[in-house]
Amino acid sequence: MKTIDVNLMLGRPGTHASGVSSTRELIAAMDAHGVERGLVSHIAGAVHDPALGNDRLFDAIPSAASCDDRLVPLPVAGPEAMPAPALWQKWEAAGVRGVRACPAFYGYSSDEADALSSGLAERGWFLQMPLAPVYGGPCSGATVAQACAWAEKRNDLCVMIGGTHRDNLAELRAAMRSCANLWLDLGNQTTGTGVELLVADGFADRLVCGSGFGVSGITSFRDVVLCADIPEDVKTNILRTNALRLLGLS
Amino acid sequence: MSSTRDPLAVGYSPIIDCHTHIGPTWPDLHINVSVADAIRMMDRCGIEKACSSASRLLRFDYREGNRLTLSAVREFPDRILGFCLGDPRRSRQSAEEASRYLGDEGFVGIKIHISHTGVLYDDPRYDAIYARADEFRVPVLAHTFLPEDVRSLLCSARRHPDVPFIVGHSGGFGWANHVAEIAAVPNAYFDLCCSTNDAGRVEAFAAAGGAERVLFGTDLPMLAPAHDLSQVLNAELSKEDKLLILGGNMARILEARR
Repeated sequence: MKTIDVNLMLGRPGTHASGVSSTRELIAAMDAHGVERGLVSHIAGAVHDPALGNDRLFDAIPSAASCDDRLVPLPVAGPEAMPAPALWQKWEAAGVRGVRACPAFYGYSSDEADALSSGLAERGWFLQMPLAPVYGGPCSGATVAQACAWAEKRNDLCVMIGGTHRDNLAELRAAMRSCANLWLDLGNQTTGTGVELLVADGFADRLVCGSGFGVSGITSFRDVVLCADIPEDVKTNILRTNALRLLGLS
Repeated sequence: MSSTRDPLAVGYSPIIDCHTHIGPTWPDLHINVSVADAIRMMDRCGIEKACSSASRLLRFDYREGNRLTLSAVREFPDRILGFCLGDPRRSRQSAEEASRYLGDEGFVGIKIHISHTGVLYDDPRYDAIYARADEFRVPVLAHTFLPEDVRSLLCSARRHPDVPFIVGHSGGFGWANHVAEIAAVPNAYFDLCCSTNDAGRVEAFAAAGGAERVLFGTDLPMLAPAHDLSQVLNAELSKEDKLLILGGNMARILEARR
């Protein structure tokens, strides 16, 4: 089974001697481990400078087509994007299918949040909200509550929460019960039987898997799903089919 | 819902998990995995044996923890290798009990845990416990997540050079800060068990201390074992090194028991 990885990272974090500098390295790792397609962010945008991160992201990936649609750029949406028709047109031309929001960086005004949500929903794009890491470390993320608030604004907008951990698992389960348009990237969810719990909760069609490769290994979270005590077709949905649907490609 | 797939680690044997748990998992999440369920988790990954203790019970009653572990060992004698708990707050009694479990009951190591006892690993109250490890030539597995955990454990490791000291979690999320100091102590072993997935971690441990001093551990059933297993299987290391890490090293440590 070829998988879809919803969280690949370009760039070097600086905190560890890891990271991927080029799309060639990304695709080589994807080929080695059966990843068909991936959503790609730039570490600079994720950690400290969204505008710089977007510049570097589009320098490396001018468009999804330039990488045979293997790499789909996932830019960070700052206030400059709301509204900014030229920017949205650029993103459309690049094959963008969703954007990353960072409430921890930007205090989006209500109008800005509405503009971003509307722009995404009208295009059938999703919104990714990476959660702030529970144990510290650099990240420009969000909280579960913030992700919920955005999901509640428009129930036709898919909001994908990025990165979970056992310390926020209970909160996430409650959030996903209350918001049918909340999706969950299982990256970092290493809680024993955590995947089984989320599937038993009825969330199987809203689960996807991202590795964080570049900073993290590319196989660990995929293998957690593959070894989970859940039906094989559910594993296929989590590792591939759901992501294709999120990207509007199914 | 059991899988028809091959276990994850096909072609690698033995696989011995140096760091697993018996007893309550995550009650606040309504997750409670039985020993039988844990065995099934091992089967799906291809893990043959698990070194296990009920370390959460160190906080309240180390004797009950040891009884729980013994029950698991008796139920699955070919799969569970018992580690008895070392409680420095009841040093003499704990050491006496360790003698019984290591001698009569066939336990293979001692587990200590600063988060549950509040006692740093170089405290003299641990001396009687380390003496038992030396007497029976068994490993000591210690939880480490803060710098003082690693420092105090390595201090004790230097004082007991014939005892294998397994640095549980290898310092946790701050592992990169401890690689050199762990590597510098010949009887200290890197434990891979951790919820982090930082790229290059396995390779860094092997490069610093040699693959012979890296041990595969998962924290199962508290954490999904495939997470750490995958990191070893896909590390940029030779198959020989991976075989050592996955089980060869722990088998060698266990063979040295008296």
